[in-house]
Amino acid sequence: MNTLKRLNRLLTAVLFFQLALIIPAPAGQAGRETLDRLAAAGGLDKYPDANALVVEDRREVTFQADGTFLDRRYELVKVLTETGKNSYGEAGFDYSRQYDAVRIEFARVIKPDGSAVEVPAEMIKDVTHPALAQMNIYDANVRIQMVTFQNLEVGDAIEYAVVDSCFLAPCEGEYDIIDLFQGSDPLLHKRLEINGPDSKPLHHLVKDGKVDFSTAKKNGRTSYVWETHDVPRIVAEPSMPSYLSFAPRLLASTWDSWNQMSKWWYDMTLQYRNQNDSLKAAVAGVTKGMTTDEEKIKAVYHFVAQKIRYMGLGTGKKAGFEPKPATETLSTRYGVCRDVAILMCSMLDDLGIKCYPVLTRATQLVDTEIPTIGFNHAIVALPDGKGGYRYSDPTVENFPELLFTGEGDASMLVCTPDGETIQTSAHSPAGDNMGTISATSRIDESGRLVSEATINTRGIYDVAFRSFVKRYPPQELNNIWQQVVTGVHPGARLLGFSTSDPEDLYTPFGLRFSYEVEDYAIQAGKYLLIKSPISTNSFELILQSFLSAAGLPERQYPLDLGVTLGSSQQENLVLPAGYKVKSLPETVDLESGGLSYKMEYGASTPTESKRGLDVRYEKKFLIDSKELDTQSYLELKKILRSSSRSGRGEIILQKDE
Amino acid sequence: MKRATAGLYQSVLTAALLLTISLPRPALNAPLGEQETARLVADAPGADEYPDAGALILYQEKNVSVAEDNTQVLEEQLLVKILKDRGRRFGDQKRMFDARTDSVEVLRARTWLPGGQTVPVEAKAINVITPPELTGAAIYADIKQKVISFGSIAPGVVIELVTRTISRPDTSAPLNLYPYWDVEVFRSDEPILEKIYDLEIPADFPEPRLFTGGGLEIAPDSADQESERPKAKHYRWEVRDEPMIHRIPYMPGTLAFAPFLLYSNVDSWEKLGSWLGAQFYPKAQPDAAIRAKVAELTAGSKTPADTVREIYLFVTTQVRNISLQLGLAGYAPTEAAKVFQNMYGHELDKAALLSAMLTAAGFENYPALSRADQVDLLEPSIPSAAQFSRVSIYVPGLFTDSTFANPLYPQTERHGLWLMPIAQYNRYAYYSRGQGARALVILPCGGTLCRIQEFPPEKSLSYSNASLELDAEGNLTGQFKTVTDGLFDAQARLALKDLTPRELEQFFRQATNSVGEGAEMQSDSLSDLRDLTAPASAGLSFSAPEVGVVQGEMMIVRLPQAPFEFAGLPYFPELKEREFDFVADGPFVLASEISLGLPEGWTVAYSPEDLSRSSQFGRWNIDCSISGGRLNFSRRLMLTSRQVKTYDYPDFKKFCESFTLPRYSLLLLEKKAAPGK
Repeated sequence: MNTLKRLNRLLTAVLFFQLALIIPAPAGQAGRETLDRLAAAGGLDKYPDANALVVEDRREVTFQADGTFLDRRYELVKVLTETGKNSYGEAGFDYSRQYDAVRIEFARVIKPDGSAVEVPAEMIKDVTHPALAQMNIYDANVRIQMVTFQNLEVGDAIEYAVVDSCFLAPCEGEYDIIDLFQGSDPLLHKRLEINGPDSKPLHHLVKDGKVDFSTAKKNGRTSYVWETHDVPRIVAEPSMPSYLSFAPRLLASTWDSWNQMSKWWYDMTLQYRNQNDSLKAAVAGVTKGMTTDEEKIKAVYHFVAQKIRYMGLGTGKKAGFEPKPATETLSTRYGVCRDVAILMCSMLDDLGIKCYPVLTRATQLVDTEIPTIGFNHAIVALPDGKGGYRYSDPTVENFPELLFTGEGDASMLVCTPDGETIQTSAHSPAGDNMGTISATSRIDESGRLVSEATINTRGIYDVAFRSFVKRYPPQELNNIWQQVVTGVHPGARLLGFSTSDPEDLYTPFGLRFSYEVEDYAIQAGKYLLIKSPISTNSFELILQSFLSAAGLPERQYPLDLGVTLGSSQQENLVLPAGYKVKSLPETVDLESGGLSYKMEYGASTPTESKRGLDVRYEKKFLIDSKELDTQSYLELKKILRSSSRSGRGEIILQKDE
Repeated sequence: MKRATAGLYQSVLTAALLLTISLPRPALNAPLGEQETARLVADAPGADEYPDAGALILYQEKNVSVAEDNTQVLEEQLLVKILKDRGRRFGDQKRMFDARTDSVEVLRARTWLPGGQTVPVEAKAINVITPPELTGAAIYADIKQKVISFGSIAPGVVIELVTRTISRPDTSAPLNLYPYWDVEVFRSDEPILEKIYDLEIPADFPEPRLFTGGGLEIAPDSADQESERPKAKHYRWEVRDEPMIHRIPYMPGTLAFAPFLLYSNVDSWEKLGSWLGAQFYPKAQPDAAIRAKVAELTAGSKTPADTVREIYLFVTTQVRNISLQLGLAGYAPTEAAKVFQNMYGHELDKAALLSAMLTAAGFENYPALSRADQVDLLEPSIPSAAQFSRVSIYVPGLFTDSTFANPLYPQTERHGLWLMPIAQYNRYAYYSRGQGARALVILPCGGTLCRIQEFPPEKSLSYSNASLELDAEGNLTGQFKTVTDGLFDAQARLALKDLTPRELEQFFRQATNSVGEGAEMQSDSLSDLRDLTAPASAGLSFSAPEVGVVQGEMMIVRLPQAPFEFAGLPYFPELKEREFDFVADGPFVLASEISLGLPEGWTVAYSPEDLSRSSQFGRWNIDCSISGGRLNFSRRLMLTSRQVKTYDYPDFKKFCESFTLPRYSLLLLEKKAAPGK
């Protein structure tokens, strides 16, 4: 142990020495080497699309067998524009008091003439991390050191070195890292060195890019070095995936397998799957009268999802990883995802129903090649009797089914006593995320429209509308829906609005509304023009919202919708008597890969008994993939073009002489 | 005798009871008693009686006491019943305080369950954090938030919170003045069953200025009542059964319609101005570095207007903005020399630097505080800095600032300038909010209220011009050019000023797509948005397939609007009726002209008719003519109102609706019959 401590001290000294090599000249003046680097970096002439240049990014990590580490980072950034100045005017370095400490070794602004303006101590503030409070998590231990750079102007550079010392590894005995080798600014040089004991070999892989790699062994330790030069910036596109899913990145970990990680978290959480009389009483209460396991699972899931509010306090020895005891989550009626997952497990334990906690990542797949703790969410798995699992997410408050349909095709690490490997949840087809809008509308001789419509929901539509209705008082809901109907016509007036009970998760959620528009039909010379109100897409709030990100003619990155989507619209229009159809919008029927779009108008022939025309409008649009690659995106654009064209069409009527 | 005695005894008892009821409740040395609280909780109505509410504020009492040494103590008791899931947000109570001078103590925090049991808030559920919105301003102020998180939150429970906040007085005490003031609104997004505000001051302190609005009245004789605290006088306001606010779009600020209280111990605007000036002016002095910078910036200036402009643009665009609500860190800015050295600052700091630089250049200038509402809500009888949220620098005099003239509607009369130092997205010297409102101009001799200049509608202009060609298949080619000013100019800069060339290219390609799916951009143009002296303008040329939809022998064409979101109608009155006035940014002018080449072989079956409307809210006109195979179409809307009263709203809605009717942008073409047919 003494030897180890001495070795640590020696290594620390070596690293300090190395760091000293890149620490420039004394305060007041930047070093020659730094200035040369900045001059050679160029500016807007070479990088016309950049706000700043990351001239140098060096990181040296030394980890120990127990998982603790020292992480030194040095960065030199040249500011090119006002936007860059605003972005780099402050730098934040986050940490958790329970696990690590951050020390700013130095921070300064380097002016073009080489003078350096040190950041005074009073401009370095240690505050609670803003991101947590925004998620309703109040943990005063999770913090950020904010450095405010003084006298920063366009053309200047910022330079800093930060040391993060981890004294308690969240996962004792293991170390892992995911590091990006591309970002939103051009990266001129990045070097990452990780030094670890030979007893804890690092499994590593660089994905989606090429990075120079070398390794060296010395004194029972191994150094791994990754280095890259001249990496262009990522120009963001609307609804693009996380950088972690496509940018060049290093995955490195001492974990030997996903099974090991699975077992680790199972062991950590097991002690918190406790029960007491209150918990047992709650279980008995919610499952009263139920005879099948399926009924009981759903009842427990609904109880946990609806009765435990999302709020976290960051308590426990391993904050961020350990859940609260299930009995505590139940009694306080609040918790974060891991808390409610463990509570649900405990309640199912009481019923004798097998289940396991699951680590997952919301919004993107986990890289499976190297096991890393890249998870940000916890849910529950239940054996499906066929060797696999089905899942349940009790964090999602307003969803009728066990697993929110947006969590299909997601990475799942089921945590069991023997460990499991990482899996992917089943695909949720577009039909499971469906909004069905139906309307019966009538236009009279004066051109007045009256319409009665319903929206029936499944999946993402259900949870979105249900949550929306629960969020606002009834009077405000009416006002909001009045605003929605004006999308059909500026003079539209809502006549009625009602919904099914948003609390009843056993019944699919639906809305019903009616509205009128005076003078809706347009008398255009000898023709009468009528638009199917539904075809304006004014009620198609979910799909339109997702597709608003599809404005570019082509993309460099996939379009990340996050969920499969389906929309069905039907309208029966009863038109005034005395007219015949001059023309209708053309039928469209397109299908490509996981995309399909059908739109059709049909008109009935007037009869003696029914003299007015009936026109029927139908449309169905399915997107059966959560993410569209760049080629599929072009197919989507073809569909959107047809959809847009047909949406601009009108029913043209002519007087029937 | 006995009967008389008994009757007398009863009378005395009754009188005592009545006296007790009519006497104001003493200052909150202790919260509501346990029994009284339990009774309030047990008797609280529920969701049946308040079907719209997410929660009910059963009882809220705020007791503010000012001590002889000017320490202020706020004791607050709150009882809220949760009725629905959305009311659970009351389960996390937050109290903001300045850690340098204040302390917040939680005296009692517990959840009352339906059965009457209580669940106290655990110590670990009380945390002190930096409010997320103030993370970047941590260098200025040690503003913290104490978060009290209640357990067992569910519909049917009641949360109870009693806190005490102690604020130590500012030891610098300019002019030996220790101001105290407050703005308290007595209506909220949930119903309030009972709310009390009690102010207690030492008996020998001068009477504060008091103002109530929205129907709130001071409790009778409250100033004369004795409190438990000897040698003190107090004032009390109370409301009962105040309905919830149903939020609607484009509402005025709550002071426009809710019961509210304003008070201040400062007895004149002059004195308030002196107090503020005593903190501002010493910090707004130029040093050698500032003077040198002024000289450098203004070396090429030909006129005084040029000089003012160059200085203003430097401070506004080069000194980084830090967001911090006015007053949160006091009213003394950082020294101008330090702000200049830092090259960042919040609004008050940047005002100090701007003032110092203008002074160095020889210009008379004064700081001014104002509100950022769309209509003037200042109460002139209450001199209080808490009424203001914005700082500007007023430069009096004789400017005919030609760079601010709109090329279509030149403004030439001379005027002073109100310069907002954080308005980095606004055209030079333009501001949207606060037009026509009163501001407190802080002169060296004291403060005075002045009206902020209002701009005519033409100053907020969106003008688009399109030259287009339509072919027989409905394909459309052409170009759009949009010029903006004022309100629209600010929207354009906000959207585009910080984008890199590739990001701008993306913007223009998406804008082109909005003309019609499948549209391709051929070229784009954008004025230099960093130049705040020139109006923002943008243009693009494109080709778009099937914008005109051919259906058999007919072609339906929707005359396209300018494809830039910042140039379109900024708002629309969608509701049928309103409980509150309609208040929005404005006034403005929205104008467009289209020259559209029509395809050969097609005739016009329908085109919009010429029409115009005038009303108290403004006027609009549509003109459409066809000649030489071209359709010439123009629309112009001028809205002159920033505020529309509820009784005028139906007419306002009709006026706006009529301008946007689909028939006024529809063109219907019909194929010409072939010769001989």
